[in-house]
Amino acid sequence: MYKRILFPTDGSEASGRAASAAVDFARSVGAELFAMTAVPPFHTFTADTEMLEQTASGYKEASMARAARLLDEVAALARDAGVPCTCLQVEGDNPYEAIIATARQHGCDLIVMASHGRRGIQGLLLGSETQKVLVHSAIPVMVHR
Amino acid sequence: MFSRILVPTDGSASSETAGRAAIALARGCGAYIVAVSIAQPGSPSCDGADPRDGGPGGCEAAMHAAAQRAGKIARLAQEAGVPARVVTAVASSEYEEIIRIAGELQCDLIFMATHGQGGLTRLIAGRVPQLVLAYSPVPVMLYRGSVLPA
Repeated sequence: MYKRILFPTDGSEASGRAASAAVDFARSVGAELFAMTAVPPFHTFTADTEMLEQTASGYKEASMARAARLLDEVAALARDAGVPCTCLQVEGDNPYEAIIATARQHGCDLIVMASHGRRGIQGLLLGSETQKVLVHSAIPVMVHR
Repeated sequence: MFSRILVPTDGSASSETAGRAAIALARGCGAYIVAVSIAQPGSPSCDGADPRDGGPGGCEAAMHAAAQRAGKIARLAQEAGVPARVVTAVASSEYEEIIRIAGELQCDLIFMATHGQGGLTRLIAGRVPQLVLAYSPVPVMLYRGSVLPA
């Protein structure tokens, strides 16, 4: 049925809850999991305080470390459940594009994600990353509250 | 994992495709299908019934059509060996009714097409799926199906 499930996370609380659901679902259908997080590339001109305060290499190191922490949490859940899990850090300004591209690249047949990320529930109806994934994804998307 | 999967249908080809995918998932999980179709008072699908009649009495033809749409999904499920039941209702707001039924029948997943009837715009998900997604307390599976090229 579903063999390769992509789970994108941004480290939000909703993503954390969706992670357990994604792992449970993967186990119940015997699928493997691809946990990914999108890392925005460094820009010299930016309003992002994390980027303003840092050099390119410092920023890259910090954002990779943060991404690794997020993915480790998912990997630990998957390990406990006996679900094979591959962790992917993908660079890109638009998370939804990174998500769609990663799904395609790894031949995923399902995306499991949270209904809202760091932008909160008000971003849900229009313009959230989840909505963008929905309209651009050729494969089904399971959305968790 | 999932034990009761709600499948709303508006009779479109995309909702049938989503329905078939839901049935495959249900078979895999040993789940039960709740096939739902909503008749809307005052809509063209009410076959000219007077919207002021409001309730089921004013909408018999639309109720019958809804029962047929949901019945088709239930039949596909039964053919695949998946238990199913049909639920129809008259409601002016499809998404609210879908969520209400999901709660009442304790469904643990809503499985629907990204685009239903009238939702052919490439870059916007259908209005009903968007609203279900925004307000559903249970997970929602959105299925693109074969309406659009991959």
